[in-house]
Amino acid sequence: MPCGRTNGCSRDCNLGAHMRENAVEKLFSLFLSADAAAGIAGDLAEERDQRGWIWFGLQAVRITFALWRNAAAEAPVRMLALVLLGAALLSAPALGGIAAVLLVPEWMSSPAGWIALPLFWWGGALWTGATLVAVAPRRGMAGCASLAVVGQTLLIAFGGPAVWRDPSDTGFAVFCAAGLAGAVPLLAGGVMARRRMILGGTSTLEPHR
Amino acid sequence: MLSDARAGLQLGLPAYLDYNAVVMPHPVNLGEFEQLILLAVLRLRDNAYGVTIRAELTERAGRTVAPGALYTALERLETKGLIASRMSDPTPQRGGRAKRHVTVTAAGMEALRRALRAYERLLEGLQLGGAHA
Repeated sequence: MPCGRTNGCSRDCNLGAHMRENAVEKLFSLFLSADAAAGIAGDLAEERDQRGWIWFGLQAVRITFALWRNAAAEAPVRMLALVLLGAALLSAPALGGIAAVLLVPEWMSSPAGWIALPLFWWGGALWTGATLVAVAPRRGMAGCASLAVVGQTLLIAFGGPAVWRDPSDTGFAVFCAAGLAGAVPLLAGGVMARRRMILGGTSTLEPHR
Repeated sequence: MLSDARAGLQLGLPAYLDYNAVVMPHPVNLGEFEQLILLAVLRLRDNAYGVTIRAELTERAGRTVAPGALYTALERLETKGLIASRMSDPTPQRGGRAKRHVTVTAAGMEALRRALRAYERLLEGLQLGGAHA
C-alpha cells in the first residue's frame, strides 16, 4: 500500500499504520509548527519498528501532554489570560441558555427545548475554541485544553454532589451532562481553527515553538 | 570598566543605561539537562535529531530520556535561540517524514562555555576522589 507521501515508503506499509502515524503528526501540529510536528512523528515512526505500537501510542500521549504542560509553564500569565478570555466568551452562550430556561420554563418541557439548549451551548463552545486559536495561534490549543479541564473540574466539583444527592432531578442532571459534553466542541473548534491555519500556510510563519 | 565609565559620562546616565540594555546580551543560564543536550548535539555534529540525541544521552551520560522531556527541552532551547533547526529530506524509514536536525548556535556555545567555566571555578581546589565521601 503506497504511503501517499511524495517519496513513497519502503517499509512494510499498511494503511492502518500510516493513518495512525498521520493522526499523531496532526495531534502534535496542534501545539507545534507543521515541520516540528512532522519531525517528532517521524522520530516515533523510526523507533516504532523496534519498540512496537504500544510504545508508539504511549509516547504519543506523553509527548502531547508534555507539549501542553510546556505551553502552560512557559508563559503561565498568558495562559491564564487565554483561559479567562475563553471563560468570558463561553459565559455568553452559557448564561444566555440559563436565562432562557429561567425566563421561559415551559420551553424546557418540550423535547425540542432540551435539544436546542445543548446545541446552543455547544455552538458557543465551538466558537470559543476557534476564537482562542485565532487569537493565540501558538498557545490557543493549549488554552482550549486548559479551559476544558478547568470547566470539567468545576462542573464535577459543584454539579456532581448535587446530582448525587438528588438523582430524581433529571433537568439538572441533563444540564450538567450537556456542560460536560461541551468540552468536545470546545476542543473541536480549536482543532478546526488550527488545521485551517496549517492548511492555509499561516503556521509556517510561526517559529518552532 | 574605565571605558564603560567614560561612556556613561559622555552619554549621560539614562542614555548609558539604554546603551547597556541594547549592547549587553542577557546571559542565559542553562539547566543540567539543557547542558547535556547541547553537548550531545555538539558531539553528533550533522546528525543531531531526536532519535540520535536520545541515544547519545543514554550511551554517554547514562540517562534514559523520555521523548516528551527531550522535545520540550529542544523547543525551549530553540525559543531561547541556543539551537537552530533545519529539516532534511524525507526518508522512507520514517514513513516519508523529514528529520528535524538541530545545531548549536553561537549563543548556545557561549551559554555552554559559561556553564562549564562555572563548574571549573567551583571545582578549583576540590578533591573529589573520595576525600569527602
